[in-house]
Amino acid sequence: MAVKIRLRRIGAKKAPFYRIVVADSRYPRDGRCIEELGYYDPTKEPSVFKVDAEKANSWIARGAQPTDTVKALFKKNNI
Amino acid sequence: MSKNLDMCRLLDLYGGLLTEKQFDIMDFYYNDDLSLGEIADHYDISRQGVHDAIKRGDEALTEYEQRLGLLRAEQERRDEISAFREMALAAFNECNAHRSFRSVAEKIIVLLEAFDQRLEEYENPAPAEEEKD
Repeated sequence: MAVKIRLRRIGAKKAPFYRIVVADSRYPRDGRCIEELGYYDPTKEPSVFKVDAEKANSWIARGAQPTDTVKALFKKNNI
Repeated sequence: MSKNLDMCRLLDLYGGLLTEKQFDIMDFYYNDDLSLGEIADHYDISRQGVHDAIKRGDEALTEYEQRLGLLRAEQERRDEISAFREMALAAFNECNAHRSFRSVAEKIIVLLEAFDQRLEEYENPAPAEEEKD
């Protein structure tokens, strides 16, 4: 079983807005998530990225896998 | 990421034109940030198959946009509106600077607020069909 850190889209039509969540990869769709870490708003210029770095790092230390997109975002924001 | 963002918007606009399965795959990929492998597991197809489906979907969406240009048109409209808004704001500031025009300034601000509210309603038409999570 794998725990993933991924983006989840919320927000209206044509206005993407994402939450960064920790979720079990077996239940991709049902909206269940273990914890919310922050959010990401790509519509602003520059894009807004807010995340609880401490929690994120502790999840990663416990073996949660960030998806590539999330990894890139973490990197960009020095987490 | 900005390419993804564009795709996301195109998917919102033209997603209904794709087949249901293709839309679902694109939706998983762009909106739920699932990896190719995860989607592949979900549908019991190969990663390559998922990759191809997404690529085909991308091409289809791009083609729709090229032919119909709805996203571009919307962006232009948005730019126009914000230019208009800025002019109104400048007018407000100008009036507000002169004491004798304060009442005009107040009217302008009321109009601006009404305008913003309408815009908000237009962009987020009630929470009707949005899925809650």
